[in-house]
Amino acid sequence: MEFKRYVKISSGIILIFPIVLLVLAAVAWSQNVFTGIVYLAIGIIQLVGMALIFPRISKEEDLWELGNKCVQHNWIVLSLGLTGCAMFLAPFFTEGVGTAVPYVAFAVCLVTLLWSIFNLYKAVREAKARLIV
Amino acid sequence: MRKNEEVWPWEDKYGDYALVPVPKKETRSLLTMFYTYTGVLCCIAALWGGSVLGLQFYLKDAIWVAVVGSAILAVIGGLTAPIGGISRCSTYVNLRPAFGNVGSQVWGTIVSGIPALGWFTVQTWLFGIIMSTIFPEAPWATVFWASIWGGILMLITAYIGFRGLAFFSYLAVPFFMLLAGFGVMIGVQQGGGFAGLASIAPASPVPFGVGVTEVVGMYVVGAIITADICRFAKKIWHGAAAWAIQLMILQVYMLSGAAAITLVTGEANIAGALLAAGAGIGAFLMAILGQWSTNDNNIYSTSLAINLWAPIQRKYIVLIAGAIGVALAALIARVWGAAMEPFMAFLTLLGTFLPAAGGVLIADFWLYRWYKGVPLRERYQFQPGTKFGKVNWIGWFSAIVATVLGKWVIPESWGIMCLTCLILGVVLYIVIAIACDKAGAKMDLGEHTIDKTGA
Repeated sequence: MEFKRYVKISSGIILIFPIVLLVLAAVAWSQNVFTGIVYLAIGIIQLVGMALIFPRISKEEDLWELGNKCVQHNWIVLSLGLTGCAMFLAPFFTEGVGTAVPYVAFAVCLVTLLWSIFNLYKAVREAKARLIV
Repeated sequence: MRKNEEVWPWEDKYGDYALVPVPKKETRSLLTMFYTYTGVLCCIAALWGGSVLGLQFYLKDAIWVAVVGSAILAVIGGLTAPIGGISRCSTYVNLRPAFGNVGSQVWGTIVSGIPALGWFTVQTWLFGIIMSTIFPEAPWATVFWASIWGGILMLITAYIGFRGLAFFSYLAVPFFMLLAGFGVMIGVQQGGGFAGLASIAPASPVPFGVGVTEVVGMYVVGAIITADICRFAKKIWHGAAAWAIQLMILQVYMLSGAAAITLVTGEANIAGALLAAGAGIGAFLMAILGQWSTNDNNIYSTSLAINLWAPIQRKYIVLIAGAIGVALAALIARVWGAAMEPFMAFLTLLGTFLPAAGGVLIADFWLYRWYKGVPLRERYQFQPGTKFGKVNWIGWFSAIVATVLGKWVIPESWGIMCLTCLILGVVLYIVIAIACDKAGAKMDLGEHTIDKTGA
């Protein structure tokens, strides 16, 4: 099934971004443990939220159900991406750490945000999934 | 398959299944239930509730207060949510057997319609206050003007209906929760780490029970009207599970986090504290998304309650009631400005008057139907042609007497007032109903038959 393949590949690529956030969390942690915790929280939730899609769709043959599951997981990634975009450039994150780490984190979140929006669009269009599942 | 799934014999005349059971094909997942309930929880007022705990308790005690209060609310909601899951109807339709048709209209409006509109007003006003704190110089962010445009924003998703509420919760909930966590991190950092935070003494200590009462009173209305959301649940237990999880994890987390910030900064305005600590645009978005995701639920519940006696499309009720709420919020802004007293007085009032009706509903569904031998999944299975009394006098009597006893007769020191009212409502209803049943006395006065529109 073409859509299932797309979901698997797309989700696999998205998984890279929270891993980047976890690396950034490690860097930030050494400078300011409290900002490190926030990076860590967003990274872990995105990672787990997206990783769980694989066992859930592995045996799914119904296109509509597949689309609905895709929508569920991408909503999590989307909302966390939005959160990261709104937070990481705040002064709290740049103090003492410099601007490089927060800007990379912002870019990572922006990519996941846009990608998940596209995935939602694909799921609704191709699998006729519901946006509210 | 349940009776009302084989054929859906209803006509959704008023929109969003306001008066009729939600059909199976329109039901949603546990995740959606969780997000939508949590959307109600995610508001600045809930953080202010935590701030109050921060002024009254050491951090460790504040966490325990939050845990106990949330557990009580989880039990109450755990009893009301399955009623919606089984009947797939809103709270106000579910009140029909226990209060009669007229009773459900009157009590639905008293228990939820007016209070939820009041909440909408207060939250809109709060939104104005937060905006004016964040942007003190901007003319568009005065309490008055921000109340108006903020209130109008909040009406949009309520106008759409359940799908609008859920959609917005998907966006707002993780954002709000993480920003609350961000606030905690700021608090912990400024307080000198976790050890330093735990040793900060509260400014105005109060007994443990007072704190629990505050936590319960803050959200007891939500616990009673859980059916408004979980009537859309795929499985009966989804609503209760989602309700309990969001309370025991996220409410405890939010209250404790807000208490931590207040202990450190002495500041009750979380958005202001976040902004001062460098949260940037996050504080602004937190205020907008948090208030929005809560307040749309308030006006949604109002519209469902009023729809029981107002035969117009639900979305128009949202617009009319919303306009009243926004106008009142702007008026409050003009009269009281940024004072907190009206908000606190409103919370106290809610915690006192509303739970008895919830107790009656719980007693009728869980105890009286059990006593009558009705299997759980066959309770409250309404169909076109189902007959109700116009007034169930036992429901009215029990709710009024329970409220009077809980509020004015029983000393406050005996327990949590709103919980006392709820328990009295349960006890009075079941005792009188069984007594009447044994004596062959009628519970219902008059008769009403619902048609296929649910009216």
